[in-house]
Amino acid sequence: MVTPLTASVTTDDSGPQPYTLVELAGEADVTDIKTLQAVLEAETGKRPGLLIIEMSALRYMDSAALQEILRAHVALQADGGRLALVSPHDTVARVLAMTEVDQVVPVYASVADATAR
Amino acid sequence: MIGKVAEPGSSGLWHAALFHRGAAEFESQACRFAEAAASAGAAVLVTGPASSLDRLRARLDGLGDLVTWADLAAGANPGRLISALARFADQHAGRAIWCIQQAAWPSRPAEELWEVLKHEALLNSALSGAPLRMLCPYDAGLPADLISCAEATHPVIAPAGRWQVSPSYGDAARGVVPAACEQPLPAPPADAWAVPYLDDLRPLRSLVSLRARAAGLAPHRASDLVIAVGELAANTLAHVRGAGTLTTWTTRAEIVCEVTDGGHITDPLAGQLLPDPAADDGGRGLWLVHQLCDLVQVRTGPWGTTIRVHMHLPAR
Repeated sequence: MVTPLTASVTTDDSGPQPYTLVELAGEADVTDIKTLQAVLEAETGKRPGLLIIEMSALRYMDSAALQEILRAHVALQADGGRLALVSPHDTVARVLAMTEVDQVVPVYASVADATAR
Repeated sequence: MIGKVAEPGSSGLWHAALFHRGAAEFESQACRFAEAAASAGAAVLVTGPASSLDRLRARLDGLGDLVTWADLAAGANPGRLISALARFADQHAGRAIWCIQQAAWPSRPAEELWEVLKHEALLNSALSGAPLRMLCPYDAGLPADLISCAEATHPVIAPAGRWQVSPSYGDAARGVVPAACEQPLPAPPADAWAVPYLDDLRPLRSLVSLRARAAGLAPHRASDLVIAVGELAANTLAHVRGAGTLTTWTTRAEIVCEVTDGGHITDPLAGQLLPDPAADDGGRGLWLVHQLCDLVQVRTGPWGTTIRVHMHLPAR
Protein backbone atom coordinates (compact mmCIF):
# COMPACT_ATOMS: atom_id res chain seq x y z
CA MET A 1 0.00 0.00 0.00
CA VAL A 2 1.39 3.40 -0.96
CA THR A 3 0.64 6.18 1.47
CA PRO A 4 2.21 9.63 1.09
CA LEU A 5 3.05 11.70 4.14
CA THR A 6 0.44 14.09 5.50
CA ALA A 7 0.81 16.48 8.42
CA SER A 8 -1.91 18.38 10.25
CA VAL A 9 -1.29 21.03 12.87
CA THR A 10 -3.51 22.16 15.74
CA THR A 11 -2.83 24.19 18.86
CA ASP A 12 -4.36 23.86 22.31
CA ASP A 13 -4.06 26.78 24.74
CA SER A 14 -6.86 25.68 27.05
CA GLY A 15 -4.89 23.73 29.64
CA PRO A 16 -2.07 24.61 32.03
CA GLN A 17 0.41 23.41 29.39
CA PRO A 18 -0.36 24.99 26.00
CA TYR A 19 1.01 23.00 23.08
CA THR A 20 1.21 22.65 19.33
CA LEU A 21 0.23 19.24 17.99
CA VAL A 22 1.63 17.98 14.69
CA GLU A 23 -0.08 14.77 13.58
CA LEU A 24 1.87 12.80 10.99
CA ALA A 25 0.28 10.10 8.87
CA GLY A 26 1.51 7.88 6.07
CA GLU A 27 5.18 7.24 5.31
CA ALA A 28 7.90 9.84 5.93
CA ASP A 29 11.00 9.35 3.84
CA VAL A 30 13.68 11.26 1.96
CA THR A 31 11.43 11.74 -1.09
CA ASP A 32 8.99 14.05 0.69
CA ILE A 33 11.35 15.41 3.29
CA LYS A 34 10.46 18.98 2.28
CA THR A 35 6.87 18.47 3.49
CA LEU A 36 8.10 17.48 6.93
CA GLN A 37 10.82 20.12 6.96
CA ALA A 38 8.36 22.91 6.07
CA VAL A 39 5.87 21.94 8.78
CA LEU A 40 8.46 21.54 11.51
CA GLU A 41 10.37 24.70 10.60
CA ALA A 42 7.15 26.73 10.53
CA GLU A 43 5.99 25.41 13.91
CA THR A 44 9.33 25.57 15.73
CA GLY A 45 9.70 29.12 14.36
CA LYS A 46 6.65 30.10 16.42
CA ARG A 47 8.60 29.06 19.54
CA PRO A 48 5.96 26.94 21.26
CA GLY A 49 6.75 25.85 24.81
CA LEU A 50 5.78 22.32 23.84
CA LEU A 51 5.62 20.79 20.38
CA ILE A 52 4.07 17.34 20.21
CA ILE A 53 4.48 15.07 17.20
CA GLU A 54 1.71 12.48 17.21
CA MET A 55 2.92 9.39 15.32
CA SER A 56 0.26 6.70 15.68
CA ALA A 57 -0.73 6.94 11.99
CA LEU A 58 2.87 7.19 10.78
CA ARG A 59 3.61 3.79 9.24
CA TYR A 60 7.25 4.37 8.30
CA MET A 61 9.99 6.88 9.03
CA ASP A 62 13.49 6.80 7.56
CA SER A 63 16.62 8.38 8.99
CA ALA A 64 16.22 11.49 6.82
CA ALA A 65 12.84 12.16 8.47
CA LEU A 66 14.36 11.37 11.86
CA GLN A 67 17.02 13.98 11.18
CA GLU A 68 14.30 16.61 10.65
CA ILE A 69 12.74 15.64 13.98
CA LEU A 70 16.13 16.06 15.68
CA ARG A 71 16.52 19.47 14.02
CA ALA A 72 13.18 20.48 15.54
CA HIS A 73 14.32 19.16 18.92
CA VAL A 74 17.54 21.19 18.79
CA ALA A 75 15.72 24.34 17.63
CA LEU A 76 13.10 24.08 20.39
CA GLN A 77 15.71 23.44 23.08
CA ALA A 78 17.63 26.52 21.98
CA ASP A 79 14.47 28.57 22.62
CA GLY A 80 13.71 26.96 25.97
CA GLY A 81 10.93 24.79 24.58
CA ARG A 82 10.66 21.04 24.26
CA LEU A 83 9.70 18.38 21.75
CA ALA A 84 7.67 15.29 22.63
CA LEU A 85 6.92 12.26 20.46
CA VAL A 86 3.65 10.41 21.03
CA SER A 87 2.63 6.79 20.30
CA PRO A 88 5.04 5.74 17.56
CA HIS A 89 3.98 2.64 15.62
CA ASP A 90 6.21 -0.48 15.88
CA THR A 91 8.39 0.30 12.86
CA VAL A 92 8.89 3.92 13.85
CA ALA A 93 9.54 2.97 17.47
CA ARG A 94 12.19 0.50 16.29
CA VAL A 95 14.05 3.22 14.38
CA LEU A 96 13.85 5.54 17.40
CA ALA A 97 15.18 2.81 19.69
CA MET A 98 18.02 1.59 17.47
CA THR A 99 19.35 5.08 16.89
CA GLU A 100 18.82 5.78 20.63
CA VAL A 101 17.04 8.98 19.67
CA ASP A 102 14.34 7.86 22.14
CA GLN A 103 16.95 8.47 24.87
CA VAL A 104 17.25 12.09 23.75
CA VAL A 105 13.73 13.06 22.68
CA PRO A 106 11.08 11.87 25.15
CA VAL A 107 8.47 9.43 23.85
CA TYR A 108 5.01 9.23 25.47
CA ALA A 109 2.06 6.90 25.11
CA SER A 110 -0.47 9.71 24.73
CA VAL A 111 -0.81 13.46 24.28
CA ALA A 112 -2.14 13.62 27.84
CA ASP A 113 1.07 11.99 29.13
CA ALA A 114 3.21 14.41 27.12
CA THR A 115 1.41 17.46 28.53
CA ALA A 116 1.31 16.13 32.10
CA ARG A 117 5.07 16.32 32.63
CA MET B 1 60.21 -11.77 13.40
CA ILE B 2 59.32 -12.52 16.98
CA GLY B 3 59.05 -9.29 18.92
CA LYS B 4 57.84 -8.21 22.30
CA VAL B 5 54.20 -8.96 23.00
CA ALA B 6 52.43 -6.39 25.14
CA GLU B 7 51.34 -7.73 28.49
CA PRO B 8 48.09 -7.12 30.37
CA GLY B 9 48.13 -3.82 32.17
CA SER B 10 49.63 -2.04 29.19
CA SER B 11 47.31 0.62 27.89
CA GLY B 12 45.50 0.38 24.59
CA LEU B 13 44.33 -2.49 22.47
CA TRP B 14 45.83 -5.97 22.63
CA HIS B 15 44.37 -8.07 19.83
CA ALA B 16 45.32 -11.69 19.45
CA ALA B 17 44.31 -14.62 17.26
CA LEU B 18 44.44 -18.00 18.95
CA PHE B 19 44.83 -20.82 16.44
CA HIS B 20 43.52 -23.95 18.08
CA ARG B 21 42.79 -27.55 17.13
CA GLY B 22 39.30 -28.45 18.25
CA ALA B 23 36.98 -27.08 20.91
CA ALA B 24 38.77 -28.59 23.91
CA GLU B 25 42.03 -26.74 23.26
CA PHE B 26 40.15 -23.46 22.76
CA GLU B 27 38.12 -23.95 25.93
CA SER B 28 41.13 -24.58 28.15
CA GLN B 29 42.88 -21.47 26.72
CA ALA B 30 39.69 -19.45 27.10
CA CYS B 31 39.33 -20.48 30.74
CA ARG B 32 42.93 -19.51 31.51
CA PHE B 33 42.35 -16.17 29.82
CA ALA B 34 39.10 -15.52 31.74
CA GLU B 35 40.68 -16.49 35.07
CA ALA B 36 43.64 -14.21 34.41
CA ALA B 37 41.18 -11.45 33.53
CA ALA B 38 39.33 -11.97 36.79
CA SER B 39 42.52 -11.84 38.84
CA ALA B 40 43.48 -8.63 37.02
CA GLY B 41 40.12 -7.12 38.02
CA ALA B 42 39.00 -6.77 34.42
CA ALA B 43 35.45 -6.87 33.12
CA VAL B 44 35.11 -9.92 30.88
CA LEU B 45 32.95 -10.22 27.77
CA VAL B 46 32.51 -13.58 26.10
CA THR B 47 30.80 -13.75 22.70
CA GLY B 48 29.98 -16.79 20.63
CA PRO B 49 27.37 -19.34 19.68
CA ALA B 50 25.14 -20.54 22.52
CA SER B 51 26.50 -24.10 22.60
CA SER B 52 30.03 -22.90 23.17
CA LEU B 53 28.95 -20.30 25.73
CA ASP B 54 27.11 -23.01 27.67
CA ARG B 55 30.23 -25.16 27.90
CA LEU B 56 32.41 -22.21 28.96
CA ARG B 57 29.81 -21.02 31.43
CA ALA B 58 29.82 -24.41 33.14
CA ARG B 59 33.60 -24.23 33.53
CA LEU B 60 33.74 -20.56 34.58
CA ASP B 61 30.88 -20.75 37.03
CA GLY B 62 33.09 -19.48 39.86
CA LEU B 63 33.72 -16.13 38.16
CA GLY B 64 30.03 -15.22 38.45
CA ASP B 65 29.17 -11.61 37.71
CA LEU B 66 32.63 -10.75 36.41
CA VAL B 67 31.72 -12.31 33.07
CA THR B 68 29.13 -11.00 30.61
CA TRP B 69 27.92 -13.51 28.02
CA ALA B 70 26.80 -12.39 24.57
CA ASP B 71 25.09 -15.01 22.42
CA LEU B 72 25.99 -14.48 18.78
CA ALA B 73 24.30 -17.57 17.42
CA ALA B 74 21.41 -15.87 15.66
CA GLY B 75 21.73 -12.78 13.54
CA ALA B 76 25.33 -12.20 14.40
CA ASN B 77 26.24 -9.57 11.84
CA PRO B 78 29.99 -8.99 12.31
CA GLY B 79 29.38 -5.31 11.43
CA ARG B 80 27.79 -4.84 14.87
CA LEU B 81 30.72 -6.10 16.91
CA ILE B 82 32.80 -2.91 17.06
CA SER B 83 29.87 -0.93 18.44
CA ALA B 84 29.06 -3.74 20.88
CA LEU B 85 32.65 -3.71 22.15
CA ALA B 86 32.66 0.08 22.39
CA ARG B 87 29.39 -0.01 24.33
CA PHE B 88 30.70 -2.65 26.74
CA ALA B 89 33.83 -0.55 27.30
CA ASP B 90 31.66 2.52 28.00
CA GLN B 91 29.56 0.57 30.48
CA HIS B 92 32.74 -0.45 32.31
CA ALA B 93 34.62 2.82 31.97
CA GLY B 94 37.76 2.97 34.10
CA ARG B 95 38.27 -0.80 34.00
CA ALA B 96 40.29 -3.00 31.72
CA ILE B 97 38.13 -5.03 29.34
CA TRP B 98 39.07 -8.56 28.37
CA CYS B 99 37.06 -10.15 25.60
CA ILE B 100 36.88 -13.66 24.20
CA GLN B 101 35.45 -13.01 20.77
CA GLN B 102 34.28 -16.20 19.08
CA ALA B 103 32.97 -14.99 15.75
CA ALA B 104 34.62 -17.32 13.24
CA TRP B 105 33.15 -20.69 14.15
CA PRO B 106 33.89 -23.16 11.34
CA SER B 107 30.26 -23.87 10.38
CA ARG B 108 29.70 -20.22 9.44
CA PRO B 109 29.27 -19.58 5.70
CA ALA B 110 32.42 -18.27 4.01
CA GLU B 111 30.80 -14.91 3.20
CA GLU B 112 30.18 -14.37 6.92
CA LEU B 113 33.71 -15.45 7.87
CA TRP B 114 35.20 -12.88 5.47
CA GLU B 115 33.08 -10.17 7.10
CA VAL B 116 34.39 -11.32 10.49
CA LEU B 117 37.94 -10.81 9.21
CA LYS B 118 37.03 -7.38 7.85
CA HIS B 119 35.76 -6.55 11.34
CA GLU B 120 39.03 -7.82 12.83
CA ALA B 121 40.97 -5.46 10.54
CA LEU B 122 38.77 -2.45 11.29
CA LEU B 123 38.81 -2.83 15.06
CA ASN B 124 42.60 -2.34 15.16
CA SER B 125 42.18 1.33 14.38
CA ALA B 126 38.58 1.86 15.58
CA LEU B 127 39.37 0.65 19.12
CA SER B 128 43.11 1.34 19.20
CA GLY B 129 42.92 3.49 22.33
CA ALA B 130 40.57 1.25 24.31
CA PRO B 131 41.95 -0.66 27.33
CA LEU B 132 40.85 -3.82 25.59
CA ARG B 133 42.43 -7.26 25.49
CA MET B 134 40.88 -9.40 22.76
CA LEU B 135 41.30 -13.15 22.39
CA CYS B 136 39.93 -14.27 19.00
CA PRO B 137 39.86 -18.04 18.49
CA TYR B 138 40.29 -19.49 15.00
CA ASP B 139 40.00 -23.21 14.42
CA ALA B 140 43.21 -24.29 12.68
CA GLY B 141 41.05 -26.40 10.37
CA LEU B 142 39.60 -23.32 8.68
CA PRO B 143 40.67 -22.79 5.04
CA ALA B 144 44.27 -21.57 4.67
CA ASP B 145 43.29 -18.23 3.07
CA LEU B 146 41.13 -17.41 6.11
CA ILE B 147 43.90 -18.38 8.53
CA SER B 148 46.47 -16.23 6.74
CA CYS B 149 44.02 -13.32 6.73
CA ALA B 150 43.55 -13.81 10.49
CA GLU B 151 47.34 -13.62 10.87
CA ALA B 152 47.41 -10.41 8.85
CA THR B 153 44.64 -8.75 10.89
CA HIS B 154 45.89 -9.58 14.39
CA PRO B 155 49.05 -7.96 15.80
CA VAL B 156 49.50 -10.95 18.10
CA ILE B 157 49.05 -14.61 17.22
CA ALA B 158 49.38 -17.87 19.06
CA PRO B 159 50.06 -20.56 16.49
CA ALA B 160 51.21 -23.11 19.07
CA GLY B 161 49.90 -21.96 22.42
CA ARG B 162 52.53 -19.21 22.80
CA TRP B 163 51.95 -15.55 22.01
CA GLN B 164 54.13 -13.93 19.40
CA VAL B 165 54.02 -10.84 17.22
CA SER B 166 52.31 -11.63 13.92
CA PRO B 167 54.91 -11.38 11.13
CA SER B 168 52.29 -10.54 8.48
CA TYR B 169 50.45 -7.85 10.49
CA GLY B 170 50.92 -4.55 8.67
CA ASP B 171 48.33 -2.38 6.96
CA ALA B 172 45.56 -3.69 9.20
CA ALA B 173 47.13 -1.61 12.00
CA ARG B 174 45.66 1.40 10.21
CA GLY B 175 42.32 -0.33 9.76
CA VAL B 176 43.04 -1.18 6.12
CA VAL B 177 40.77 -4.05 5.10
CA PRO B 178 42.64 -6.89 3.33
CA ALA B 179 41.61 -7.33 -0.30
CA ALA B 180 40.70 -10.94 0.41
CA CYS B 181 37.77 -9.70 2.53
CA GLU B 182 36.32 -7.74 -0.35
CA GLN B 183 36.40 -10.13 -3.27
CA PRO B 184 33.83 -9.41 -6.00
CA LEU B 185 30.37 -10.63 -4.98
CA PRO B 186 29.00 -13.64 -6.86
CA ALA B 187 26.39 -12.61 -9.44
CA PRO B 188 22.74 -12.73 -8.35
CA PRO B 189 20.84 -15.78 -9.60
CA ALA B 190 19.02 -15.58 -12.95
CA ASP B 191 15.60 -15.53 -11.27
CA ALA B 192 16.40 -12.48 -9.08
CA TRP B 193 14.05 -9.50 -9.29
CA ALA B 194 15.79 -6.29 -10.40
CA VAL B 195 13.99 -2.97 -9.98
CA PRO B 196 15.41 0.47 -10.74
CA TYR B 197 14.42 3.42 -8.53
CA LEU B 198 14.86 7.14 -9.01
CA ASP B 199 12.34 9.13 -6.99
CA ASP B 200 9.53 7.21 -5.29
CA LEU B 201 10.75 4.66 -2.74
CA ARG B 202 7.35 3.46 -1.51
CA PRO B 203 6.80 0.88 -4.29
CA LEU B 204 10.32 -0.40 -3.58
CA ARG B 205 9.55 -0.90 0.10
CA SER B 206 6.24 -2.58 -0.77
CA LEU B 207 8.07 -5.01 -3.05
CA VAL B 208 10.61 -5.87 -0.34
CA SER B 209 7.82 -6.40 2.16
CA LEU B 210 5.96 -8.75 -0.20
CA ARG B 211 9.08 -10.71 -1.14
CA ALA B 212 10.17 -11.03 2.48
CA ARG B 213 6.80 -12.31 3.62
CA ALA B 214 6.61 -14.70 0.63
CA ALA B 215 10.07 -16.01 1.57
CA GLY B 216 8.79 -16.89 5.04
CA LEU B 217 10.48 -14.15 7.06
CA ALA B 218 8.61 -13.39 10.31
CA PRO B 219 6.63 -10.12 10.17
CA HIS B 220 8.97 -8.15 12.46
CA ARG B 221 12.02 -9.33 10.49
CA ALA B 222 10.34 -8.49 7.20
CA SER B 223 9.70 -5.03 8.60
CA ASP B 224 13.40 -4.79 9.57
CA LEU B 225 14.43 -5.66 6.02
CA VAL B 226 12.06 -3.01 4.65
CA ILE B 227 13.64 -0.40 6.92
CA ALA B 228 17.16 -1.48 5.87
CA VAL B 229 16.48 -1.42 2.12
CA GLY B 230 14.60 1.85 2.55
CA GLU B 231 17.72 3.38 4.13
CA LEU B 232 20.02 2.07 1.41
CA ALA B 233 17.79 3.42 -1.34
CA ALA B 234 17.34 6.72 0.51
CA ASN B 235 21.14 7.05 0.58
CA THR B 236 21.15 6.81 -3.21
CA LEU B 237 18.61 9.60 -3.49
CA ALA B 238 20.39 11.77 -0.93
CA HIS B 239 23.97 11.35 -2.13
CA VAL B 240 24.04 10.13 -5.71
CA ARG B 241 23.10 11.60 -9.04
CA GLY B 242 21.12 9.09 -11.08
CA ALA B 243 19.09 6.02 -10.34
CA GLY B 244 19.84 3.00 -8.21
CA THR B 245 18.86 -0.61 -8.69
CA LEU B 246 17.41 -3.01 -6.15
CA THR B 247 17.97 -6.70 -6.83
CA THR B 248 16.37 -9.28 -4.56
CA TRP B 249 16.30 -13.06 -4.43
CA THR B 250 15.65 -15.91 -2.08
CA THR B 251 17.70 -19.02 -1.42
CA ARG B 252 16.88 -21.99 0.81
CA ALA B 253 18.54 -20.26 3.73
CA GLU B 254 18.01 -16.54 3.28
CA ILE B 255 16.49 -13.58 1.48
CA VAL B 256 19.02 -11.22 -0.06
CA CYS B 257 18.55 -7.62 -1.17
CA GLU B 258 21.22 -5.72 -3.05
CA VAL B 259 21.29 -2.01 -3.79
CA THR B 260 23.64 -0.67 -6.46
CA ASP B 261 24.25 2.97 -7.32
CA GLY B 262 26.96 5.35 -8.51
CA GLY B 263 28.07 6.50 -5.05
CA HIS B 264 31.36 5.89 -3.25
CA ILE B 265 31.57 5.27 0.49
CA THR B 266 35.00 6.42 1.59
CA ASP B 267 34.79 5.59 5.31
CA PRO B 268 35.27 1.83 5.84
CA LEU B 269 33.71 2.18 9.31
CA ALA B 270 30.53 3.80 7.99
CA GLY B 271 27.55 2.44 9.90
CA GLN B 272 29.60 0.51 12.44
CA LEU B 273 29.60 3.13 15.21
CA LEU B 274 26.45 4.59 16.80
CA PRO B 275 26.02 8.19 15.62
CA ASP B 276 25.50 10.67 18.47
CA PRO B 277 21.76 10.31 19.22
CA ALA B 278 21.46 14.04 19.95
CA ALA B 279 23.19 15.27 16.79
CA ASP B 280 20.90 16.58 14.07
CA ASP B 281 23.15 15.42 11.24
CA GLY B 282 23.09 12.28 9.11
CA GLY B 283 24.93 8.98 9.15
CA ARG B 284 22.17 6.87 10.69
CA GLY B 285 21.15 5.00 7.53
CA LEU B 286 24.02 2.50 7.41
CA TRP B 287 23.96 2.20 11.19
CA LEU B 288 20.35 1.00 10.96
CA VAL B 289 21.23 -1.39 8.12
CA HIS B 290 23.95 -3.02 10.23
CA GLN B 291 21.67 -3.28 13.25
CA LEU B 292 18.77 -4.78 11.30
CA CYS B 293 20.39 -7.27 8.92
CA ASP B 294 22.16 -10.56 9.55
CA LEU B 295 24.97 -9.85 7.13
CA VAL B 296 25.99 -6.68 5.27
CA GLN B 297 28.49 -6.80 2.40
CA VAL B 298 29.76 -3.49 1.01
CA ARG B 299 31.69 -3.20 -2.23
CA THR B 300 32.53 0.41 -3.00
CA GLY B 301 34.94 2.43 -5.06
CA PRO B 302 35.09 5.30 -7.53
CA TRP B 303 33.12 3.07 -9.93
CA GLY B 304 30.10 2.87 -7.60
CA THR B 305 28.69 1.02 -4.62
CA THR B 306 26.93 -2.29 -4.13
CA ILE B 307 25.56 -3.17 -0.72
CA ARG B 308 24.15 -6.65 -0.27
CA VAL B 309 22.14 -7.40 2.86
CA HIS B 310 21.08 -10.86 4.03
CA MET B 311 18.33 -12.08 6.35
CA HIS B 312 18.37 -15.72 7.51
CA LEU B 313 15.08 -17.54 6.95
CA PRO B 314 13.61 -19.73 9.67
CA ALA B 315 14.56 -23.40 9.25
CA ARG B 316 11.90 -25.41 7.43
